[in-house]
Amino acid sequence: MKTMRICGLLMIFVFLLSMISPSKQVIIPKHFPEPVYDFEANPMNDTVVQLGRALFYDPILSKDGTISCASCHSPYNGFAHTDHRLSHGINDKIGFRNAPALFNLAWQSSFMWDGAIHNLHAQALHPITSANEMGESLENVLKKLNNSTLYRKLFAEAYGDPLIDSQRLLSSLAQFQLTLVSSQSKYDDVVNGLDDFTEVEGKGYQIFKKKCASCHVEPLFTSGDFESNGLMVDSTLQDVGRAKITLRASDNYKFKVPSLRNLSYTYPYMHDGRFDHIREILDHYNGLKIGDLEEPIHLSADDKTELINFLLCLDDKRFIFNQNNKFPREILLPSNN
Amino acid sequence: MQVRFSIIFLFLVSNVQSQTNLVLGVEWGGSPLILDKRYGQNQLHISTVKFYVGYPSPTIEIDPKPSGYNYHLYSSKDSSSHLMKIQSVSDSFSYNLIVGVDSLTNMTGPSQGDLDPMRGMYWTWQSGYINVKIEGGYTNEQGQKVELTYHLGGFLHGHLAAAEIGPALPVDANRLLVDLQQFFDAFDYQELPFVMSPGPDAQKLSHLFAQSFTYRQ
Repeated sequence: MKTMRICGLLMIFVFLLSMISPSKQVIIPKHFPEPVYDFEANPMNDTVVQLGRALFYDPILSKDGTISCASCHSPYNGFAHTDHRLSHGINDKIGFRNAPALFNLAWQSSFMWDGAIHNLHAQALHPITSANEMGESLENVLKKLNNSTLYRKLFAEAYGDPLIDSQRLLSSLAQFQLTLVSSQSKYDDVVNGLDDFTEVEGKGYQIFKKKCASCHVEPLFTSGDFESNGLMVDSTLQDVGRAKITLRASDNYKFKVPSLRNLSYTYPYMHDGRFDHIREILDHYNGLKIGDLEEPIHLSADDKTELINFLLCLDDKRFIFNQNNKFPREILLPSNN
Repeated sequence: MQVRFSIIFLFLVSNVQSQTNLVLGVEWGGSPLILDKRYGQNQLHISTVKFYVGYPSPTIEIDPKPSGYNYHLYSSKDSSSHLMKIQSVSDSFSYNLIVGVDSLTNMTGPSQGDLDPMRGMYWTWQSGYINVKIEGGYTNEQGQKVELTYHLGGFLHGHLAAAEIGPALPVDANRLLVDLQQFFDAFDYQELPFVMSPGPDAQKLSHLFAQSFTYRQ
């Protein structure tokens, strides 16, 4: 009888555990909404994640073997691209936009600043084949991978047979990126009752809720929608944003609302990296009527200070310094361990 | 009794799948297209023709609107793609083939087999399949060579380029042919020598292309 009770409790525990996370590799924070990504149709696999991690950091994906995904999506910068307004690829070719930060992708239904990519599995095709990024062809990438002893082994371990094809390549990259979940900032601790805001941070939070939250919706700090935030179009880039995809004039100069998490690490800001500091962003917004706000945003000097203090509470050091996301030395450079 | 009848009916339907073999082909004015041959006054020539043909996935549903599609990629340069095998529900249910890939399949992302992006029919700069690829050229009145490039696709609201081939697939059809002369006669290609992204032009040309198909025995 006691044994049956223990077994029953264990079964309940396992069942509850399965409800919290569809996979042991992806954390679904309990204060986050349901992910958009279909984990049931695409179940996570630890070995596939590690394969994807190796591919993410390996410049084998680029034509000349110099550029990896991590070249523009630096793990030390929230997987964004710093020091450059616009990202650059092989032969220092300059792109048209600043590489967005990569985290919480399971909650996004479209990718890129203009939402050109609507499925995470399709996203990697763009940088791999773009002349300004990796400049490679899918065919050549698969050829290189099939010629690599390491990748033949890794794919066989991940998928049970040595087939290396486009679907497995893209799926592996997607699975690694899905593990990049940022949900342990001070703000998250406060929401979960583990910490408190300081008085200044609390005031900043109130200002945020009044003036920023309509587009930067908690807890992801983005609505995932496309908005125009009053930026003057860059006269060189002439980037019309979302309108390029929908061909609707009403979408001119609209870009995907970025998350405000990890701002300390993901500068410069905006689709074209024009702002280096958070204060510049607030100066830009000051006086503008944006989105659904009924009145223009007015921020005093104190407001800006308080707001910045709150925004810094969205930095997630546990995510930024998570070694599980970093360059997989043990896979790509095993002899150096 | 009613339940038992339904179960028997469903069992029969689910197991009565038929296979139809269709030979796909491209013509010019009723004769087989010869790649790179010069046609007409403008010396129009075609170097590449590729397109997706979709047929309903085998299903026991009797709703006339298919709940999903399977796809076959025809390529003018790959003779193994000129025979399309359709595994579908019993001949009792009529359906239309489509040219292009439906929205749901597009949203699911790149797939395998004929839908593998390695087949060169998937846009990487903006997710989505290229439904029809026609490449070639012509010589204009000034004697200059002009390239023609049609990469027709799109599935977002208002730009759906996948189009039905009418009429419904005849039971006795053995061949499905598209006449490119009919296609090029339907619009001014000198005004529109290239379409390489989704939009109204891609949608219009996709539908004209679908209208250029006929079934033969």
